[in-house]
Amino acid sequence: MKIEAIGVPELKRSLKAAADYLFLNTRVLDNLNVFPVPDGDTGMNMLSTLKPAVEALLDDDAGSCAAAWELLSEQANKHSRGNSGFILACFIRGFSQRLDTDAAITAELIRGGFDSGSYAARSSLLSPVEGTMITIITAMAEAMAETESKDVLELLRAGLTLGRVKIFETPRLLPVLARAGVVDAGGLGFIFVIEGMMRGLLGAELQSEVEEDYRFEPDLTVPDSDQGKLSFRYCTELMVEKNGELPWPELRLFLEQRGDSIALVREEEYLKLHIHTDTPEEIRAKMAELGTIVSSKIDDMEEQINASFRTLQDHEALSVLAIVPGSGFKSVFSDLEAAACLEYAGRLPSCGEILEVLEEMPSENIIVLPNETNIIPAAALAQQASGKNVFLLPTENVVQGITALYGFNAEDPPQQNIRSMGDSIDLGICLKVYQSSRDSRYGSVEIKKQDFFILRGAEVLAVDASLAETVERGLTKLDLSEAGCVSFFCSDAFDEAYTTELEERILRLQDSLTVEFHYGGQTNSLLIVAVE
Amino acid sequence: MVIVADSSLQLSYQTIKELNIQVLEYPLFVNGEPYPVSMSMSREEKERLRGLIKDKRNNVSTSGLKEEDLHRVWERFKDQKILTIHQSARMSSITVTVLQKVKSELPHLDIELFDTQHMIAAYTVQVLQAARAQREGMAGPELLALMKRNRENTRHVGSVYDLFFLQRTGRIGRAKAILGTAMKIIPLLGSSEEAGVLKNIGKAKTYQQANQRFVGMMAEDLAARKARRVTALISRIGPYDRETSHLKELIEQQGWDADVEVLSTNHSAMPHAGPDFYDLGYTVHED
Repeated sequence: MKIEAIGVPELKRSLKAAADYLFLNTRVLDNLNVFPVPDGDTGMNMLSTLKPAVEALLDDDAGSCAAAWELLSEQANKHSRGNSGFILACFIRGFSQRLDTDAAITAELIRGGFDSGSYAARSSLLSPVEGTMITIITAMAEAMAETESKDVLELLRAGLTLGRVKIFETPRLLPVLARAGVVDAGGLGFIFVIEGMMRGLLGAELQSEVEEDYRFEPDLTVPDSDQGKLSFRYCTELMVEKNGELPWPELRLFLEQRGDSIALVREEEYLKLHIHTDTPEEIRAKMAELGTIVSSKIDDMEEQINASFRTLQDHEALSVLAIVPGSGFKSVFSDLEAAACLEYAGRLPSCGEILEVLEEMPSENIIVLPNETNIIPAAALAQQASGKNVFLLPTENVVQGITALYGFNAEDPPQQNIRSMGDSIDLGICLKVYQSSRDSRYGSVEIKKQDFFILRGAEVLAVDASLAETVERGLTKLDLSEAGCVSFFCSDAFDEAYTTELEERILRLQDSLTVEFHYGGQTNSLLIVAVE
Repeated sequence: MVIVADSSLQLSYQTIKELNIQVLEYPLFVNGEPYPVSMSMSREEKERLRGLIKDKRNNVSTSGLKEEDLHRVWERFKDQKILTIHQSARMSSITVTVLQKVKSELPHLDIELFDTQHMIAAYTVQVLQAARAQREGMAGPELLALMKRNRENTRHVGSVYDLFFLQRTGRIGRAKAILGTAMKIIPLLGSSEEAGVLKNIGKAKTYQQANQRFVGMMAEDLAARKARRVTALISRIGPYDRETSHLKELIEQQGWDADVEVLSTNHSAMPHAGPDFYDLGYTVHED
């Protein structure tokens, strides 16, 4: 099959197929999108730009291809969204400038249109980046320029062939793509548009592209860079009907100081701006000085990025709920990746209170650390009553809870976590230090009012009027040969003046130990001591 | 047959010479300027480099193998079979691309590329065993079969005290909340189901806990294969002599037939793993 000229009906059919091809493969493009920001909307932006323009064209009675393409350009400009949509609209506009009043489009006009479209797309960007859609458009234009055929199909095939080669070179040009193991989504989207056009001309079936064909092993040896990271929060697009001359290059400087991914179309009557910025209102005010704002759009890209990850993070991921005896433990457990902490002071939490927190947590898979023997029954009841997948690891004190979290990895399945967390429970010993408020007897041990005593479980290890002496004697009852660190979690009643003496006494016992003091905020014991 | 490795190898210069391993040098750059490195660097020289890396304002990086170096080394052994052993292709795809490209340019040479699917100590322990087997007369398909078996049975674990460098060079994924916390927790990393990709395998407060965890994993691996023999290699950078000696002793106390060595990390691993880590690569033998 050979086509030497395209009339309006063929152009309409071809462009409808292009929009349909894009629609069919929007998700592939969205999933591959990592540059300029990984907000997962390249396919949708290109589709939102092309589809309404094509629909407007299908409803129109354009008498010539030049008029049809002019309408397409006008509508694409009007509807362009995002970086990729903007560049696609610029290409269409540039292409239309090569068509004068031509009734039909020949191979020669396509060659010229691609050349002009490539120039328009590239020159609209204040800082063009290679490895993106402009690289692909330029390559396809060059391939066509070198093809002397008068056959439109052969010309499109030549462009597509080189485009499909060049798309796999984009990761070499743009390191962020290599690190992510993807080709450039915008460039690929442009290939899909032209592929769709050609299939439309041929009357060939449209096909779903396979995302994996455009993915490869991420090259993590490529140095990380700021590419693909969110430098500015708002994707801002404005269309302005000009009321005079453009203050250039002052406008350029103004924009460059306030954002990136800047693209600007400067037509005789209007301006169209795309910019990623943190100050969209300031940009808007500046553009309003240049004329009448006829359309504007501000997208929060941070929200878009978060939304694309939220489902996995909130629902599928495994979370930990730690029940803690004081506010200081919240930061300790949070540092160890516990998603939520239920703090109690004095009175132990009820099943209902535990259940309430479980239901508030976004995750459906939760491991509960009761961290106190007497809370285990209430936690077990909450586990049974909850409609979520709740796993109970019966930690008997906060030190067990802390060391259990050493074995936690949110990316592993629950049962594997339960096993590795269970294996970690015994990595530390928990001691509790109290000061007696009256003369009393604890088992067979007599304790005088104001005496300090140190417990391991229910066993009294030492009693003395001196806090440091009590702690030292308590620690001598333990085998410290494999210990590396003694951490004190202090209550509000603990006097910080004791810290130096405590540290000196412990180092006297074993100078290789590390001694740390943290705020625990517990109310029932003076100190909780973790020996690890 | 000649064995060719690259400078991410952790073996001492003396061992490299004894086992006649040819080493391809990754160039190293400090703030874009070439920095003189070689496998014969002394511990003091490595410590000086460590000091530069520890200052996070310095950008210390390696680049891919130089094609001319590869040509030069491979051409030198044109009359022999050349076995080039490299780190995980997944983590060093540029290296592998260069290796494949130069190999295709030298069709007259008999070059075998072997992907160990591991890094640092776990890469090194595989090269070490291949070189020892070769010295004992093993060659050809028999040696390759041994290497494939060893690769299957090798695991990589380590304590990395500062994840900044692994993050900067993309060796691990998303940032972990445990970075920079008041609790001073040590992240433990290990090989994952994906070849060459490190994952979080837990945390520890003390090196004793970390080492117990590593030895626990070794015990599980030995039990799973009903094996008693293990070859292990520990590499360290920074003041971790006490930690690595403890790990070696702990392994030796288990009553296994264990061959364990502690080595000082060579320069090429430092920009990626950072100035503060020790790691363990071990191969469990089913015989």
